[in-house]
Amino acid sequence: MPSQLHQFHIYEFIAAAETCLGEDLISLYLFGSAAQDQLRTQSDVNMLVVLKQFCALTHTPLQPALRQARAAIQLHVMFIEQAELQSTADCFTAKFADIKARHRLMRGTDSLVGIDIKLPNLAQSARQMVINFQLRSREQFLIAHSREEQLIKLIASAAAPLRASAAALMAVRSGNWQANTSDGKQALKQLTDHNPSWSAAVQGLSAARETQTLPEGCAKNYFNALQEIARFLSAELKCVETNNVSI
Amino acid sequence: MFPFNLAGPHFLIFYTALGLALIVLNWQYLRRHTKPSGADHTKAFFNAPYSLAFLNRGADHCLSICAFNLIDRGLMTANAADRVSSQALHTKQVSHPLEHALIQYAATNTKALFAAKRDNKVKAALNAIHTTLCDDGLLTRRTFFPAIKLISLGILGLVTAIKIAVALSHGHNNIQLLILLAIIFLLVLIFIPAPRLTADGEDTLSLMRGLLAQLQGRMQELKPGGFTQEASLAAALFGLGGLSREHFPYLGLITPPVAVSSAASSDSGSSSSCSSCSSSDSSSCGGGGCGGCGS
Repeated sequence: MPSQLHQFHIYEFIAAAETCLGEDLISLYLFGSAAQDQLRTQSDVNMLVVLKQFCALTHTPLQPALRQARAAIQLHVMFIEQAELQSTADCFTAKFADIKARHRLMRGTDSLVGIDIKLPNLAQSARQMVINFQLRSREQFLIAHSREEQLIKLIASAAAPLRASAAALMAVRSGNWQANTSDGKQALKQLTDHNPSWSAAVQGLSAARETQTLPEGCAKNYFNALQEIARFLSAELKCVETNNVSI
Repeated sequence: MFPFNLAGPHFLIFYTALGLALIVLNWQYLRRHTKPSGADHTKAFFNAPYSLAFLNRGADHCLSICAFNLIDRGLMTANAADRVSSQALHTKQVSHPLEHALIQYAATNTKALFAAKRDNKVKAALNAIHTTLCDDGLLTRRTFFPAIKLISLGILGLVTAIKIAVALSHGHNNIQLLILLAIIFLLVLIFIPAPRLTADGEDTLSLMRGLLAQLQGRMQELKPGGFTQEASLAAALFGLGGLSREHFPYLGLITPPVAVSSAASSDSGSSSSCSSCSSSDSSSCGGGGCGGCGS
């Protein structure tokens, strides 16, 4: 974890979760960049809390700690019942492939061991993620394109879906979900290296995330290239999805 | 050398030096009149934006944040500058006494937000927050009159009295300048204001700013809706001005009438400048000015 600030709030929340959830708490994980010590100042923090059962009546005392952590470090918590894990992983396979690849168990026993990542589901789920990005970002682009700083944020927001789906594509192609899932950045780079404008856009995406700046006048071109990459990924994922289903 | 044997001009120099030294001593003491207890008060504020706002900038800011929160939740409307309205039925949807009182205040027709301090229920809710902050040792009580002030006044009074007695016994009657200086120094000593925040109060605000530094960085991105209370918390600590006017177009209508330039300015205290305010305190003017404060 990059800062004491993140650590402070994460451990405050964990302590509160242990107290408020009691015996219902089975496992508590950090996942994503927080699990890999790659948090930046403005990164959000993702947590997975596996419960025996979620109870709307008894778990409410967690509110202050959750609000505090949300305000202070943008903590987002996925509360999931143990019995729901596999079915949720089947629906949001790309997400769970990423969680399985990049997580850190903070409390309790490891509930992710038995989760099966199915390749056809992974391809389908990754394609949904790309399509969702395309649909969402087009509207946002048309609203915000005249403001460079907004456009940079929009480009930065493409990193998560594009990297995750690139990793998923590589994984499905290799027939092993674990292949590349831990490094979406590398997977995206590998898939776009052959095209100079895509490659530049992918580098711009990293710069937008890490420094919140881009060379003047490049943002629109990068956004356009990212849309092309998304189109490519979507088509490729559909292709491997069809192949996997037919197998 | 015994100072009371000094000749007139020399004694006046000594007396002026003594008076100034006492004033500086008192000022320094009042700046740091309490030692930090080391207690961590921050936990209480993460879910208490109104108390945080009151601690940070006083009652006006507290009202402002309460109105902001209610408007953001759709329970109040900002109609024009310093004008808000609400509906009595919304009182059922809130739990905090200040929210309850402010909605009731604005329920009958459009009201001036910052004049709400004169409404009995709003005043009581503000007083409750103020009292809690004082009880927790974060705000200075109005009645705070430290022993060092009494001692300083005693020393100055005693020196003056002895010198006057010595002068008169020697048949010198030119003691007018000494009396004038004595009056000036005594008045200054009596009215040196205590800071609004205690050392713990300052530490708490400083800690909160550190713990919520990331929130400050994304204030412009916070969206309306009041779902997470992040905007209220950020506005309480860093000011309404940090939020996006695009997302919250009514901000200008509920900002306290006297612009608050910084939290530090609130340290100038207000017990003297606003002593005629309601009992909601001296701090009601802290940094936020005395707009509408009983005048």
